[in-house]
Amino acid sequence: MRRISLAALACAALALGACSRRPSGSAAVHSPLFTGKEPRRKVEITLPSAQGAGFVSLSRDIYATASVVAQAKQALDDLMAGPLQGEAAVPCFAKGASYLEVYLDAKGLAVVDLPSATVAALPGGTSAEVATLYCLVKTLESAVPGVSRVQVLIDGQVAESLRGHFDIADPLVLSDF
Amino acid sequence: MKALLLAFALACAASLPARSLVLLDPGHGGSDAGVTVGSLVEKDFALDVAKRVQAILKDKGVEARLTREDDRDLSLTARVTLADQIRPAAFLSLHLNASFNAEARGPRVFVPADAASDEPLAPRLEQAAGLHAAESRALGGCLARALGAAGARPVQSLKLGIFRGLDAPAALVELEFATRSGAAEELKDPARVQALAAKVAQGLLEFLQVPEAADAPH
Repeated sequence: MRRISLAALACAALALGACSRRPSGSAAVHSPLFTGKEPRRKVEITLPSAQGAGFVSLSRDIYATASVVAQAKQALDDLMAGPLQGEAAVPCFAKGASYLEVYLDAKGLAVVDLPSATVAALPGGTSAEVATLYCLVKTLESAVPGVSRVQVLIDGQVAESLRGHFDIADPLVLSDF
Repeated sequence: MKALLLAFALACAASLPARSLVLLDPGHGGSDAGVTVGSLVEKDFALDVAKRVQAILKDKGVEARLTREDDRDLSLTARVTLADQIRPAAFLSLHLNASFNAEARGPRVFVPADAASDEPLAPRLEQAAGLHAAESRALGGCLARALGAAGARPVQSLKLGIFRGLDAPAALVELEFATRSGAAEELKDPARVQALAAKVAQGLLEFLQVPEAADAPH
Protein backbone atom coordinates (compact mmCIF):
# COMPACT_ATOMS: atom_id res chain seq x y z
CA MET A 1 0.00 0.00 0.00
CA ARG A 2 1.80 3.07 -1.24
CA ARG A 3 -0.59 5.70 -0.04
CA ILE A 4 0.32 7.05 3.33
CA SER A 5 -2.51 7.03 5.82
CA LEU A 6 -3.52 10.00 7.86
CA ALA A 7 -3.49 7.75 10.90
CA ALA A 8 0.18 7.00 10.33
CA LEU A 9 0.87 10.68 9.96
CA ALA A 10 -0.98 11.38 13.16
CA CYS A 11 1.14 8.77 14.92
CA ALA A 12 4.27 10.38 13.54
CA ALA A 13 3.05 13.71 14.79
CA LEU A 14 2.38 12.37 18.26
CA ALA A 15 5.69 10.59 18.44
CA LEU A 16 7.91 13.19 16.88
CA GLY A 17 6.17 16.51 16.64
CA ALA A 18 6.25 19.46 18.94
CA CYS A 19 9.83 18.84 19.94
CA SER A 20 11.03 21.94 18.22
CA ARG A 21 9.55 25.00 16.61
CA ARG A 22 10.59 27.63 14.15
CA PRO A 23 10.84 31.35 14.78
CA SER A 24 8.20 33.89 13.97
CA GLY A 25 6.72 34.25 10.51
CA SER A 26 5.10 30.86 10.05
CA ALA A 27 1.40 30.24 9.71
CA ALA A 28 1.31 28.26 12.92
CA VAL A 29 2.32 29.37 16.40
CA HIS A 30 5.87 28.13 16.92
CA SER A 31 8.44 28.47 19.67
CA PRO A 32 12.12 28.91 18.81
CA LEU A 33 13.89 26.11 16.98
CA PHE A 34 17.19 26.64 18.76
CA THR A 35 18.72 28.44 21.71
CA GLY A 36 21.66 29.80 19.75
CA LYS A 37 24.08 28.01 22.05
CA GLU A 38 24.22 24.84 19.95
CA PRO A 39 27.19 24.21 17.67
CA ARG A 40 26.71 25.11 14.04
CA ARG A 41 26.87 22.75 11.11
CA LYS A 42 26.82 23.29 7.38
CA VAL A 43 24.02 21.96 5.22
CA GLU A 44 23.25 22.33 1.54
CA ILE A 45 20.00 23.66 0.19
CA THR A 46 19.04 23.30 -3.47
CA LEU A 47 17.52 26.11 -5.52
CA PRO A 48 16.79 26.60 -9.23
CA SER A 49 19.72 28.08 -11.09
CA ALA A 50 19.42 31.67 -12.23
CA GLN A 51 21.19 30.66 -15.45
CA GLY A 52 18.72 28.63 -17.44
CA ALA A 53 17.72 25.11 -16.51
CA GLY A 54 19.20 23.19 -13.64
CA PHE A 55 19.73 23.63 -9.95
CA VAL A 56 22.46 24.80 -7.64
CA SER A 57 23.48 23.64 -4.19
CA LEU A 58 24.13 26.40 -1.70
CA SER A 59 25.72 26.17 1.71
CA ARG A 60 23.92 27.31 4.83
CA ASP A 61 24.73 27.19 8.54
CA ILE A 62 22.18 25.72 10.89
CA TYR A 63 22.28 24.97 14.61
CA ALA A 64 22.99 21.31 15.31
CA THR A 65 20.15 20.99 17.76
CA ALA A 66 19.43 17.80 19.64
CA SER A 67 16.17 17.63 17.75
CA VAL A 68 16.64 16.48 14.17
CA VAL A 69 13.20 17.89 13.41
CA ALA A 70 14.46 21.31 14.44
CA GLN A 71 17.38 20.91 12.06
CA ALA A 72 15.01 19.96 9.27
CA LYS A 73 12.95 23.05 9.99
CA GLN A 74 16.00 25.28 9.91
CA ALA A 75 16.96 23.87 6.51
CA LEU A 76 13.40 24.39 5.34
CA ASP A 77 13.44 27.98 6.59
CA ASP A 78 16.61 28.60 4.60
CA LEU A 79 15.09 26.96 1.52
CA MET A 80 11.94 29.06 1.74
CA ALA A 81 13.97 32.23 2.26
CA GLY A 82 15.53 31.69 -1.16
CA PRO A 83 18.92 32.80 -2.44
CA LEU A 84 21.09 35.31 -0.65
CA GLN A 85 22.29 38.41 -2.42
CA GLY A 86 24.84 37.54 -5.07
CA GLU A 87 23.92 33.87 -5.35
CA ALA A 88 23.16 32.71 -8.89
CA ALA A 89 19.85 31.14 -7.97
CA VAL A 90 16.15 31.96 -7.92
CA PRO A 91 13.60 31.14 -5.20
CA CYS A 92 11.50 28.00 -5.28
CA PHE A 93 8.82 29.36 -2.97
CA ALA A 94 7.06 32.69 -3.05
CA LYS A 95 7.94 35.40 -0.57
CA GLY A 96 6.42 34.79 2.85
CA ALA A 97 6.27 31.01 2.42
CA SER A 98 5.92 28.97 5.57
CA TYR A 99 5.12 25.49 6.80
CA LEU A 100 2.65 24.38 9.38
CA GLU A 101 4.71 21.49 10.75
CA VAL A 102 7.46 19.04 9.89
CA TYR A 103 7.51 15.44 11.09
CA LEU A 104 10.16 12.75 10.74
CA ASP A 105 9.75 9.05 11.27
CA ALA A 106 12.35 6.40 11.91
CA LYS A 107 12.12 4.98 8.38
CA GLY A 108 13.41 7.96 6.45
CA LEU A 109 10.08 9.68 5.88
CA ALA A 110 9.82 13.44 6.30
CA VAL A 111 6.36 14.94 6.31
CA VAL A 112 6.09 18.62 5.42
CA ASP A 113 2.72 20.20 6.04
CA LEU A 114 2.28 23.36 3.97
CA PRO A 115 -0.44 25.92 4.52
CA SER A 116 -2.73 26.45 1.55
CA ALA A 117 -1.68 30.12 1.44
CA THR A 118 1.91 29.10 0.71
CA VAL A 119 0.74 26.72 -2.01
CA ALA A 120 -1.59 29.32 -3.52
CA ALA A 121 1.29 31.79 -3.75
CA LEU A 122 3.27 29.46 -6.02
CA PRO A 123 3.23 30.57 -9.65
CA GLY A 124 1.67 27.36 -11.00
CA GLY A 125 2.81 25.50 -14.09
CA THR A 126 4.44 22.11 -14.20
CA SER A 127 7.99 23.43 -14.35
CA ALA A 128 7.67 25.68 -11.31
CA GLU A 129 5.87 22.96 -9.39
CA VAL A 130 8.53 20.39 -10.21
CA ALA A 131 11.23 22.87 -9.21
CA THR A 132 9.60 23.52 -5.85
CA LEU A 133 9.15 19.85 -5.05
CA TYR A 134 12.58 18.80 -6.29
CA CYS A 135 14.28 21.50 -4.21
CA LEU A 136 12.23 20.50 -1.18
CA VAL A 137 13.07 16.81 -1.46
CA LYS A 138 16.71 17.37 -2.38
CA THR A 139 17.25 19.82 0.46
CA LEU A 140 15.69 17.63 3.12
CA GLU A 141 17.48 14.52 1.88
CA SER A 142 20.77 16.37 1.89
CA ALA A 143 20.39 18.32 5.12
CA VAL A 144 18.66 15.80 7.33
CA PRO A 145 20.44 12.51 8.03
CA GLY A 146 18.37 9.51 7.09
CA VAL A 147 15.64 11.26 5.14
CA SER A 148 14.94 9.55 1.83
CA ARG A 149 11.25 10.27 1.22
CA VAL A 150 9.13 13.37 1.63
CA GLN A 151 5.37 13.44 1.99
CA VAL A 152 3.86 16.84 1.31
CA LEU A 153 0.56 17.72 2.95
CA ILE A 154 -1.57 20.79 2.41
CA ASP A 155 -3.35 22.00 5.52
CA GLY A 156 -2.80 18.61 7.08
CA GLN A 157 -4.37 16.68 4.21
CA VAL A 158 -2.96 14.43 1.52
CA ALA A 159 -3.49 16.26 -1.78
CA GLU A 160 -3.53 15.33 -5.48
CA SER A 161 -0.96 17.98 -6.32
CA LEU A 162 0.38 21.37 -5.25
CA ARG A 163 -1.14 23.41 -8.07
CA GLY A 164 -2.66 20.80 -10.38
CA HIS A 165 0.38 19.03 -11.77
CA PHE A 166 2.88 16.85 -9.92
CA ASP A 167 1.40 13.87 -8.08
CA ILE A 168 2.03 14.34 -4.37
CA ALA A 169 -0.45 11.78 -3.08
CA ASP A 170 2.45 9.50 -2.15
CA PRO A 171 5.82 10.28 -0.58
CA LEU A 172 8.29 11.73 -3.07
CA VAL A 173 11.77 10.40 -3.72
CA LEU A 174 14.55 11.95 -5.77
CA SER A 175 14.11 9.39 -8.54
CA ASP A 176 10.60 10.77 -9.13
CA PHE A 177 12.30 13.72 -10.81
CA MET B 1 19.65 15.14 -32.18
CA LYS B 2 18.91 13.67 -35.62
CA ALA B 3 18.88 10.21 -34.11
CA LEU B 4 16.44 11.40 -31.50
CA LEU B 5 14.13 12.86 -34.12
CA LEU B 6 14.36 9.68 -36.16
CA ALA B 7 13.43 7.66 -33.10
CA PHE B 8 10.42 9.90 -32.55
CA ALA B 9 9.41 9.52 -36.19
CA LEU B 10 9.64 5.75 -36.01
CA ALA B 11 7.69 5.74 -32.79
CA CYS B 12 5.02 7.90 -34.39
CA ALA B 13 4.78 5.60 -37.37
CA ALA B 14 4.23 2.65 -35.07
CA SER B 15 1.41 4.27 -33.17
CA LEU B 16 -2.33 3.87 -33.38
CA PRO B 17 -4.78 3.43 -36.23
CA ALA B 18 -6.02 6.57 -37.94
CA ARG B 19 -9.11 8.57 -37.08
CA SER B 20 -9.38 7.57 -33.46
CA LEU B 21 -10.98 9.45 -30.63
CA VAL B 22 -8.90 12.07 -28.84
CA LEU B 23 -9.67 13.46 -25.39
CA LEU B 24 -8.44 17.00 -24.85
CA ASP B 25 -8.11 18.22 -21.30
CA PRO B 26 -8.02 21.99 -20.80
CA GLY B 27 -6.07 22.34 -17.57
CA HIS B 28 -7.49 23.85 -14.41
CA GLY B 29 -10.90 25.59 -14.44
CA GLY B 30 -13.44 27.11 -12.07
CA SER B 31 -11.87 28.22 -8.82
CA ASP B 32 -8.49 26.95 -10.05
CA ALA B 33 -7.31 29.62 -12.47
CA GLY B 34 -3.87 28.11 -12.99
CA VAL B 35 -1.11 30.48 -14.01
CA THR B 36 -2.25 34.09 -14.08
CA VAL B 37 -0.06 36.82 -15.54
CA GLY B 38 -1.85 40.11 -16.04
CA SER B 39 -5.03 39.40 -17.95
CA LEU B 40 -3.73 36.06 -19.23
CA VAL B 41 -5.43 33.28 -17.29
CA GLU B 42 -4.37 29.70 -17.87
CA LYS B 43 -7.77 28.08 -17.45
CA ASP B 44 -9.26 30.30 -20.19
CA PHE B 45 -6.24 30.00 -22.45
CA ALA B 46 -6.22 26.20 -22.19
CA LEU B 47 -9.93 26.00 -23.00
CA ASP B 48 -9.48 28.31 -25.98
CA VAL B 49 -6.63 26.20 -27.34
CA ALA B 50 -8.51 22.97 -26.73
CA LYS B 51 -11.54 24.18 -28.69
CA ARG B 52 -9.32 25.32 -31.54
CA VAL B 53 -7.53 21.95 -31.62
CA GLN B 54 -10.90 20.20 -31.53
CA ALA B 55 -12.06 22.19 -34.56
CA ILE B 56 -8.88 21.47 -36.52
CA LEU B 57 -9.11 17.76 -35.76
CA LYS B 58 -12.76 17.74 -36.77
CA ASP B 59 -11.78 19.15 -40.16
CA LYS B 60 -9.46 16.18 -40.51
CA GLY B 61 -12.16 13.71 -39.58
CA VAL B 62 -10.87 13.05 -36.09
CA GLU B 63 -13.32 13.26 -33.23
CA ALA B 64 -12.04 15.11 -30.20
CA ARG B 65 -13.90 15.54 -26.94
CA LEU B 66 -13.06 17.88 -24.08
CA THR B 67 -12.95 17.05 -20.38
CA ARG B 68 -14.59 20.42 -19.77
CA GLU B 69 -16.43 22.61 -22.27
CA ASP B 70 -16.67 25.61 -20.00
CA ASP B 71 -15.16 27.23 -16.92
CA ARG B 72 -15.76 24.78 -14.11
CA ASP B 73 -14.00 23.02 -11.27
CA LEU B 74 -12.84 19.57 -12.30
CA SER B 75 -10.51 17.49 -10.17
CA LEU B 76 -7.68 15.49 -11.65
CA THR B 77 -9.46 12.34 -10.54
CA ALA B 78 -12.65 13.37 -12.38
CA ARG B 79 -10.67 14.01 -15.57
CA VAL B 80 -9.01 10.60 -15.32
CA THR B 81 -12.33 8.90 -14.61
CA LEU B 82 -13.78 10.46 -17.73
CA ALA B 83 -10.81 9.35 -19.79
CA ASP B 84 -11.05 5.81 -18.50
CA GLN B 85 -14.72 5.71 -19.49
CA ILE B 86 -14.01 6.97 -23.00
CA ARG B 87 -10.72 5.08 -23.53
CA PRO B 88 -9.37 7.56 -26.08
CA ALA B 89 -6.58 6.77 -28.51
CA ALA B 90 -4.80 9.79 -27.07
CA PHE B 91 -5.31 11.92 -23.97
CA LEU B 92 -3.76 15.37 -24.01
CA SER B 93 -3.80 17.83 -21.14
CA LEU B 94 -3.19 21.44 -22.22
CA HIS B 95 -1.51 23.98 -19.94
CA LEU B 96 0.44 27.18 -19.63
CA ASN B 97 3.74 26.99 -17.82
CA ALA B 98 5.37 29.15 -15.16
CA SER B 99 8.83 29.40 -13.75
CA PHE B 100 10.62 31.26 -11.01
CA ASN B 101 13.15 32.06 -13.70
CA ALA B 102 11.85 34.77 -16.05
CA GLU B 103 14.23 33.52 -18.76
CA ALA B 104 12.45 30.18 -19.11
CA ARG B 105 10.75 29.88 -22.48
CA GLY B 106 9.28 27.46 -24.97
CA PRO B 107 6.99 24.45 -24.84
CA ARG B 108 7.48 21.46 -22.55
CA VAL B 109 6.04 17.99 -23.13
CA PHE B 110 5.50 15.54 -20.29
CA VAL B 111 4.46 11.89 -20.45
CA PRO B 112 3.83 9.27 -17.76
CA ALA B 113 6.74 7.52 -16.16
CA ASP B 114 7.05 3.78 -16.68
CA ALA B 115 4.96 1.58 -14.40
CA ALA B 116 6.69 1.27 -11.07
CA SER B 117 8.69 -1.92 -11.48
CA ASP B 118 9.77 -1.84 -7.85
CA GLU B 119 6.22 -1.96 -6.63
CA PRO B 120 4.59 -4.90 -8.40
CA LEU B 121 1.75 -5.01 -5.92
CA ALA B 122 0.63 -1.44 -6.58
CA PRO B 123 -2.97 -1.36 -7.76
CA ARG B 124 -3.23 -1.63 -11.53
CA LEU B 125 -5.08 1.66 -11.68
CA GLU B 126 -2.12 3.43 -10.12
CA GLN B 127 0.19 1.93 -12.72
CA ALA B 128 -2.19 2.29 -15.67
CA ALA B 129 -0.59 5.28 -17.32
CA GLY B 130 2.79 3.63 -17.01
CA LEU B 131 1.43 0.63 -18.89
CA HIS B 132 1.02 2.92 -21.90
CA ALA B 133 4.48 4.38 -21.46
CA ALA B 134 5.77 3.46 -24.91
CA GLU B 135 2.71 4.86 -26.70
CA SER B 136 2.80 7.93 -24.50
CA ARG B 137 6.44 8.51 -25.38
CA ALA B 138 5.48 8.23 -29.06
CA LEU B 139 2.67 10.73 -28.53
CA GLY B 140 5.00 13.03 -26.66
CA GLY B 141 7.57 12.76 -29.41
CA CYS B 142 5.04 13.73 -32.07
CA LEU B 143 3.91 16.71 -30.01
CA ALA B 144 7.44 17.81 -29.17
CA ARG B 145 8.45 17.80 -32.82
CA ALA B 146 5.31 19.65 -33.89
CA LEU B 147 5.77 22.28 -31.20
CA GLY B 148 9.51 22.54 -31.63
CA ALA B 149 10.26 21.56 -28.04
CA ALA B 150 14.01 21.74 -27.64
CA GLY B 151 16.58 20.96 -24.99
CA ALA B 152 18.23 17.82 -23.76
CA ARG B 153 14.91 16.29 -22.80
CA PRO B 154 12.23 17.40 -25.28
CA VAL B 155 9.92 14.79 -23.79
CA GLN B 156 10.15 14.29 -20.06
CA SER B 157 8.65 11.43 -18.07
CA LEU B 158 7.10 12.68 -14.85
CA LYS B 159 4.80 11.49 -12.12
CA LEU B 160 2.03 13.97 -12.79
CA GLY B 161 -1.30 13.77 -11.03
CA ILE B 162 -3.25 13.74 -14.29
CA PHE B 163 -1.54 10.48 -15.23
CA ARG B 164 -2.50 8.61 -12.05
CA GLY B 165 -4.79 5.78 -13.04
CA LEU B 166 -5.09 7.02 -16.61
CA ASP B 167 -5.55 4.02 -18.90
CA ALA B 168 -4.61 5.59 -22.24
CA PRO B 169 -1.61 6.96 -24.11
CA ALA B 170 -1.21 10.39 -22.58
CA ALA B 171 0.77 13.58 -22.56
CA LEU B 172 0.65 16.96 -20.86
CA VAL B 173 1.82 19.93 -22.87
CA GLU B 174 2.88 23.22 -21.34
CA LEU B 175 2.56 25.41 -24.41
CA GLU B 176 4.66 28.35 -23.25
CA PHE B 177 5.96 30.03 -20.12
CA ALA B 178 3.47 32.72 -19.26
CA THR B 179 6.08 34.11 -16.89
CA ARG B 180 8.48 34.92 -19.73
CA SER B 181 8.78 38.63 -20.36
CA GLY B 182 6.32 39.58 -23.10
CA ALA B 183 4.64 36.18 -23.24
CA ALA B 184 1.40 37.29 -21.66
CA GLU B 185 0.83 39.87 -24.41
CA GLU B 186 1.83 37.43 -27.18
CA LEU B 187 -0.52 34.76 -25.91
CA LYS B 188 -3.46 37.14 -25.98
CA ASP B 189 -3.10 37.34 -29.77
CA PRO B 190 -5.69 35.04 -31.40
CA ALA B 191 -3.37 34.38 -34.35
CA ARG B 192 -0.65 33.19 -31.96
CA VAL B 193 -3.14 30.97 -30.13
CA GLN B 194 -4.38 29.52 -33.42
CA ALA B 195 -0.82 28.79 -34.49
CA LEU B 196 -0.17 26.92 -31.26
CA ALA B 197 -3.41 24.98 -31.66
CA ALA B 198 -2.41 24.04 -35.21
CA LYS B 199 0.91 22.67 -33.96
CA VAL B 200 -0.78 20.64 -31.25
CA ALA B 201 -3.23 19.24 -33.80
CA GLN B 202 -0.34 18.44 -36.14
CA GLY B 203 1.34 16.40 -33.42
CA LEU B 204 -1.85 14.53 -32.64
CA LEU B 205 -2.53 13.82 -36.32
CA GLU B 206 0.97 12.49 -36.73
CA PHE B 207 0.51 10.22 -33.76
CA LEU B 208 -2.83 9.02 -35.12
CA GLN B 209 -1.32 8.60 -38.59
CA VAL B 210 -3.83 10.92 -40.18
CA PRO B 211 -2.34 12.56 -43.28
CA GLU B 212 -2.26 16.31 -42.83
CA ALA B 213 -3.94 16.71 -46.22
CA ALA B 214 -6.84 14.56 -45.11
CA ASP B 215 -10.24 16.15 -44.89
CA ALA B 216 -13.27 15.06 -42.98
CA PRO B 217 -15.45 12.57 -44.85
CA HIS B 218 -18.56 14.19 -46.24
